[in-house]
Amino acid sequence: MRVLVAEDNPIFQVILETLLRDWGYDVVLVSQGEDALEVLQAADGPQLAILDWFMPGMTGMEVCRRVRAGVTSRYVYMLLLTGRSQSGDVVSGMEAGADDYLTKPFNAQELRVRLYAGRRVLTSLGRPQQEVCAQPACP
Amino acid sequence: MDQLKQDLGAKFVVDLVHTFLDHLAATLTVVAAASATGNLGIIAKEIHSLKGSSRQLDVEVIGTICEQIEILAKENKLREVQLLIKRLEEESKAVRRVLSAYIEGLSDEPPVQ
Repeated sequence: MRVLVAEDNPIFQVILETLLRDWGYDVVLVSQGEDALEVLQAADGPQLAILDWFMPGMTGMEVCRRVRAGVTSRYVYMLLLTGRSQSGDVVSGMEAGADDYLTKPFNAQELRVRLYAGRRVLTSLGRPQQEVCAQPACP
Repeated sequence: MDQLKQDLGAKFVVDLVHTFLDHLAATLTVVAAASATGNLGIIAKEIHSLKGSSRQLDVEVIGTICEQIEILAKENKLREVQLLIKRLEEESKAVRRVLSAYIEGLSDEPPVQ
């Protein structure tokens, strides 16, 4: 499955790209919010996205807002990954349209299972309920 | 870092530490220039990024100083920020020594089969 990673920090770029490839994802990496939006707007764009909050230009939160405003043709499951850890930040991020929220520093295994939860949601949007429930909890 | 080593292997961690040390050096250069001109906006942005990297790699001493700088920069306290940047530069030398020794030890480990 393809996943978009929008992150400008070189350390998080390396960690995320390596972990995700190790878990079997095809990674599309960008470092600016505008580029993230362009990738997600493509007809065959990824339906799973990890977005940093602070990036040059458009923030991850703004990307969430625009995606939810309907600029993509398919549902995109978006996870905000950010150093902002106040509960007010979580509320703002999810009100902007993020499906999930993970704070930095992050635990790799926590990210793995949260992404899998996202995949279950995406699957449930495209399959009958019974089929979704029959899936294993995690690979 | 130990968890990353377990998940992705020692070679990955060695490469990651090199990337971090490059990031640290580049940030210090930009921040020093911004400090000289009093550009607190650039300082806050760069330091925020370094804070995230440091804490992800358990380099808490750098993460803590970065957090303090970020707060003071947003409060427009240039003099205090400049003093902390000097401290950051000093601590970075020690961190570089420690991390270099750490990856030297990792490089001697046999690769995971």
